[in-house]
Amino acid sequence: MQSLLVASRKGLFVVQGQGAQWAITAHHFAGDPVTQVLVDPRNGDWYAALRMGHFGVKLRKSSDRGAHWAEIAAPAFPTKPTEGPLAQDPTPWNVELVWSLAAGAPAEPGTLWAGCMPAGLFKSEDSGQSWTLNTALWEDPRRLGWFGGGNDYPGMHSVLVDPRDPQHVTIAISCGGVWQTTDGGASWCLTADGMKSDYLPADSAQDPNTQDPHRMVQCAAHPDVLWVQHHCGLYRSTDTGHHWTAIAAPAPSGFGFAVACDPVDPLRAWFVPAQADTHRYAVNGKMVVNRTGDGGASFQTFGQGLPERDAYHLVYRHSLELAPDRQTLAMSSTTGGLWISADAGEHWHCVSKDLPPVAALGWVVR
Amino acid sequence: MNDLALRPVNANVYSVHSENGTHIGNLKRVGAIWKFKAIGYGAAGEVEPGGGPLTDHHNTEFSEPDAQALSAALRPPASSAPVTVEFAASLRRHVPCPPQTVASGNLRTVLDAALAAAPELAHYVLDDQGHIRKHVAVFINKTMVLDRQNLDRAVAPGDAVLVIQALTGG
Repeated sequence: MQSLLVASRKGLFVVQGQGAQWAITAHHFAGDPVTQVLVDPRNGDWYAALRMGHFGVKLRKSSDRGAHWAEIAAPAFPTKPTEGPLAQDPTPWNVELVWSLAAGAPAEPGTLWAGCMPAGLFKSEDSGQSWTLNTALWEDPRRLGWFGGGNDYPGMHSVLVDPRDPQHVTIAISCGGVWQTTDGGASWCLTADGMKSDYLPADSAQDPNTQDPHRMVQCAAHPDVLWVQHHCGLYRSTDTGHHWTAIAAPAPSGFGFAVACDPVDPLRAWFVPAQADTHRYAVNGKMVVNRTGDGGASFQTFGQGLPERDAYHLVYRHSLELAPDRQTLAMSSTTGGLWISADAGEHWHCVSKDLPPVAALGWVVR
Repeated sequence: MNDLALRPVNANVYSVHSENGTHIGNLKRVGAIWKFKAIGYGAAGEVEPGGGPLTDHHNTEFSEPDAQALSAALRPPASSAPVTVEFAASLRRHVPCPPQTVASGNLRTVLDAALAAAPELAHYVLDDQGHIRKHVAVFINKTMVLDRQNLDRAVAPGDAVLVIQALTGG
């Protein structure tokens, strides 16, 4: 039996099952928006990020698979300076959303990373008891050139820790490009060369600092390989994100928000196409999933078990997740749908269309 | 704290309550006299004998259990009259915190003193910059505080502060 965490606007659901048999078995934080989840592969701890509309972002932690939850510290910005270059920073120094959570290396059991909106990167070295803003990135003057992608402020939706080197972290921001550090965050490089924003004037369309990667994932066994679903199409890198190669848009669309990749096979990935740019739901109302097994040279389109007409679901950034078995794929929507495939996306089973809007998924890995 | 109320407990004891009903002490018969015993309540609701807003009047003696006499004699100095701070149920469901009585001052000092009883509640009320969260409303004597950033407005002795959520949602 497999377990899936479903972070929704009305709480965190636990969905369990296998094949085509799935059921909701628990509902935590009922009524409270949950924006991200993390199952720590090092020790099995569960983390849930909440976004209480009135009371701000919160973090909860469970060390017993959800039986009990404790509130831990949430990332918070330091006091904004009243003097100096950052005094005029128009971005409010308040964490509005915890958008990504990542575990550090096994050799650093207490290390966690949180990417937020506004796009600050926070690190904990004590399993969430405290967080520290990465100031090297936050105080980089180029940050002031970022802008919001679908939100008032830039957001950090993807944080990848290199399995080979815990000092190497790669992040992606809408709209702030792709950045990486090789010294644990003391310094950062902007690495979005090759990406292109078609909607910007030609002389700025390739500016790395304003690119809008919607979601970025990494092949764990081949960490040099990264995939991005960008606002303007699909990208893949084979040099750890330093250079990005555009992938020809597959039918029915190269637009979308989510991407998942195989942790072992660097050529295999999944995307969920949506109709660009102002529509942002299934193309022609028919929901499909695209899968490539050759690094993006070609795609197969699958839709069996998915709605074929009048379907206005949008699979958002963190709503496509591959289970540890590398065959089971979960997909959720902002319309409260949840689908699971047991055969790598070829056939789908609808678990529910009645959930609250889903923000993120996370498979229980141990 | 103008009109204290006496509620009989038994033949030798009255409980003493402030104008808003808060239990602030007892009046006990000791021989031929009555002694006022001040009482306060801690963050977890625990009783603090001799504490509370009238701690300075602990063991004051009276000839009779007369509410008017107590009211006149136990009036706190104006500068030390407590401020009450209450958090709405929507906040207390996350972090328990009974109504707090704190010293007057400005809104910053009053909130800080009240939140000292439940430090985990602070980031529910205040954002990363220490400002009142945009969807939290603070009332002083039923008047909403509009300036969420500048919290140096005075909170006078005897004022009542209420902290609630400002919006509903869906």
